[in-house]
Amino acid sequence: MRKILLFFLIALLINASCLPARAGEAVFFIPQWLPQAQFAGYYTAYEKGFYKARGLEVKILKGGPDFPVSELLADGQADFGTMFLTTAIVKRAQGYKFINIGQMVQRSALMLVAKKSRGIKTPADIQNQSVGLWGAEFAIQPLAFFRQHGLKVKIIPQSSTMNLFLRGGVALASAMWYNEYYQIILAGVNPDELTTFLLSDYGLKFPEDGIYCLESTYQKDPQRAHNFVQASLEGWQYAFSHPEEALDIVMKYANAAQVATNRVHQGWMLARMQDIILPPGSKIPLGCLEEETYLQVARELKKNGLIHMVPDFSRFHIDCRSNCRSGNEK
Amino acid sequence: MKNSGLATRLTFFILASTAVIFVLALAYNYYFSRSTIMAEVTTDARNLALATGNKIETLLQGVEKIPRSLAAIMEERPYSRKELVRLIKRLLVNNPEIYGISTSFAPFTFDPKSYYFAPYAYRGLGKIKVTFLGSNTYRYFFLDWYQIPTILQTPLWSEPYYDEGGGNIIMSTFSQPFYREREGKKEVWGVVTADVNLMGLKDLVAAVSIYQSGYAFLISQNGIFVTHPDKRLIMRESIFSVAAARHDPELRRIGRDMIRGGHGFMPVNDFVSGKKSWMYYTPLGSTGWTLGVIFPEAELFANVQRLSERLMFIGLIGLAFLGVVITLLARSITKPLRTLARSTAALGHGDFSVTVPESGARETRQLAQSFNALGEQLTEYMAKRDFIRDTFGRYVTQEVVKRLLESEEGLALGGETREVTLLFSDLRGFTALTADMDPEQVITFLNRYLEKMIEVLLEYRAVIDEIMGDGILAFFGAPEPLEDHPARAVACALAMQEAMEEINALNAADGLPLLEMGIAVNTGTVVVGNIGSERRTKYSAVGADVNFAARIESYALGGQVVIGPFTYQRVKDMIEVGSFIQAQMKGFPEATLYEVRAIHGPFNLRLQERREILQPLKGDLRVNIYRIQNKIITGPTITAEIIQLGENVAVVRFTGELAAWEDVRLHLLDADNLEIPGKIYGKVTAVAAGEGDLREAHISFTSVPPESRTIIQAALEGEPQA
Repeated sequence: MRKILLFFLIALLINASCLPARAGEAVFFIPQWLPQAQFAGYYTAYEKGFYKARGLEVKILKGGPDFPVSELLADGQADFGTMFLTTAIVKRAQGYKFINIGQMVQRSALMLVAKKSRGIKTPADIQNQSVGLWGAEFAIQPLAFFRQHGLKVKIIPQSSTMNLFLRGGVALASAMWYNEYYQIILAGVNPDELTTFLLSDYGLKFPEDGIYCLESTYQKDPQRAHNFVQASLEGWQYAFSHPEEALDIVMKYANAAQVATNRVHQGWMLARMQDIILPPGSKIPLGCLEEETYLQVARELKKNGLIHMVPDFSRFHIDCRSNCRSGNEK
Repeated sequence: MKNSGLATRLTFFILASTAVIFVLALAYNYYFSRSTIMAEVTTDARNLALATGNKIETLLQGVEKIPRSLAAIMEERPYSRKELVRLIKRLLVNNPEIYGISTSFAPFTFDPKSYYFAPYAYRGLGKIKVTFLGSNTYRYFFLDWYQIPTILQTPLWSEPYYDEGGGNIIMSTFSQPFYREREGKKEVWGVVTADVNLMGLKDLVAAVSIYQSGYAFLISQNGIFVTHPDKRLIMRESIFSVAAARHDPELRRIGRDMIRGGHGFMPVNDFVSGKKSWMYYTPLGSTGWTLGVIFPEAELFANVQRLSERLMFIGLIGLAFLGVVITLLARSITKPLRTLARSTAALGHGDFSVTVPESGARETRQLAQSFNALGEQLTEYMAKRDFIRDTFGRYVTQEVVKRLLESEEGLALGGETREVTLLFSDLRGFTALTADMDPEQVITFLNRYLEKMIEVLLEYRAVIDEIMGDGILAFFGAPEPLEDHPARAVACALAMQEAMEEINALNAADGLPLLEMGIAVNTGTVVVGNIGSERRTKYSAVGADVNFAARIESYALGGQVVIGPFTYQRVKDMIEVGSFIQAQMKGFPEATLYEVRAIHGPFNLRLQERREILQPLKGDLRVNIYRIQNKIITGPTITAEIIQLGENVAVVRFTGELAAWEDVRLHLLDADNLEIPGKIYGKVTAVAAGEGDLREAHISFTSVPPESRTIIQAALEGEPQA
């Protein structure tokens, strides 16, 4: 009897609804791209021991085009990974049981860039121009933007480089504000020679990077997921308050992966990550995904035929900012 | 500087000017050498860059030729898949500088059923392999090497990239589009590509060396370093990322010019070391890439720097040497000047004997000569001045001379009213005495007397107003105020009388007659000052009291000092008076005169008692008496009998007229009543009535010639007359 009482007491104390995190077991994490400041928070959390402090033996896998996060998560090679919200919704709609356990990037960094010399200064100037677009999810916002402004454009599939744009092969190009935009700058084009259309400025918020895992992964050990998200958030906060240290960490990983980048570029990227993870004036808490935003994104995806049904938000997102509560409610 | 010496100034200004000239020359030399070197180096760097660029271009153009020719062949006629593969394989075999060749067709254009068609021959491990590009994961239509040239419809070199196969091989692909006619329109059919391993270029670029550490590098059209001695930059950094990291907008500006096909010679900081460097850059033909040649400025100007440093060193030594020389020179100039300054100061203090050495530079020598001449002239002038003063001083006292010499006002005409004591002296019977003497004797006689008297007068600080023959007018109490001028005058008079003893002793030795001097002293208020005209002035006293004193003098007998009542009032407590004289002088009220015998107090002088004892004469001695008025004999000759005789006094009995204080001349008579040669001068001191019409007169002798003296002596000793 006494033992039973004690058990209940302990269970109450440790929040019996969550199973205790299993210490010592490796946790595999995969970012959706090669090592760069886009993932500074995770590398920093790892290097500063924030994961370890929460009893997580995290192993960060090398991401990149050859390692699609959805596949690695699906076949269990990785426990956690980052994906664009759009990607994740599409995958969810396709039947992957991915859940969002932490929304990092609150606003979209996707933009259209044009050279002023081509006479493009306002959205109206884009009419009948050639536009370089990346595939699938990356095209959704620009297409919504064109619809918004009643623009007809000639879409040119855009490669992973900005060379087509730089050589004048397209009038506009897609660019991530934190990456390709600055590549253009670092290829000798001055900011004042460019017109940019940051799509989130046109009501297309489209939150991007979030942390995902399989529903089953979460259910097996919710506390582990919570711990992972919380350590990651701490990592981001640390990276933003110690940018030079964070850059040292990022460059270490980038150099190890032989990523052709440089510190200036990564510095720019980290600063922009802060702009989109903690947008100035935003009321959305770090790591949180709002249903309204989710629905806007999902509707746009549906409109573009990328999904046929909008996955249920309550089953898609679990707020892991605090010690697992929302997850347990389901 | 204001208070610095000539040597300091000279050293400072010459050294400063020389240093300025030297620095200017050095700077000119430095900048001239620099610009010369700059010009040479610009040429060198340009030539070097162009030569290297040419080599690279030749190589790349060789590569370009293959796709260009192949593209032309492709447009000729359709080739079968087999033919194409054989063609590209053969081309690759024959062109070892090419890594891979492809003929990549647009979708469905080679085979309407096939989306992709792109045979690719490449160098595998040791042998040439062929593969067909295009898959869902390799959609070549959307890769730069295909997409850009087809959209732009122009052949071009791709941005360098790392070889897909891994490793550190940097590649670039030259893509040549080929076209076909379709419904009368020319359209892109595909591209022929040739891949080049840029590692070969790297060696070519690395072979460039300029100065010690100068090197060449290659940047792509995006500004990315393709080759650079520092591997960390390659494919990672661009010239713009370096500029951004350094916050160097100028480097960014240069970078923009570089990727736009510009060329130039620019100062930059080395991309790695940050050292101040120079860069020449030139575009590499059709690639859009830029070749840069960079070398540190320090090396560029090392020789100029070294030369300048040496020149600076030599210059500093030169300046130091110059400084020493100037200092020595300046000292040699200033030393005589300092000596001169000291000597001039000494001269100023009255040492006219100082001289300076007449040596050194001509100007210094001349200055020294002038100075020495000045000294001599001053000595001469002072000698003259002393002579003048001394000469002058014979007649006037030092006091007057001093006053005249020292103040300009002293020479001003005009006067002041002063109380002074006047002194008159005169030799008794001098004119008559000297009448028979020859002139030279007279001068000797007179000078001996005057010299002594003046000496005494000056000793008592008298101002000698006038010397008229044997008469002297002097006064005390002006210009130098003397409190005790009455006593001083009296004492002086007594001293003068005393001095007469000395003169008479000398005169006697020379056989000259005995001299008797009478002195009158009177105190009164007179006007003193420079009297006369501009040309001739004298410090003199005028006034009634001067005349009064002169009058008193006629009452003084030989050897006597007679003072007036005013003097008496001032000195009565310190003098001994011999006799009183009630004098009735023309134009003056009756006055009592006093014959002074001695003065007490600080002067303490006493006249020698004179033997004035009269003795009755036993024998008969007669004299002729001539009355003298204004030095002229007047009235009848009186023959009188000497009834009593002293050495200088006689009582005579006579008939006729004689008045008291009358001047007389006596001639002793011999037994035959003939006049014995020898004129005795004297003064009647008293006249009394005798028996009947006979009268008796007291006569004091003022001058007795030697021959007469003998007779008188004999008479006094009772000897019979000769």
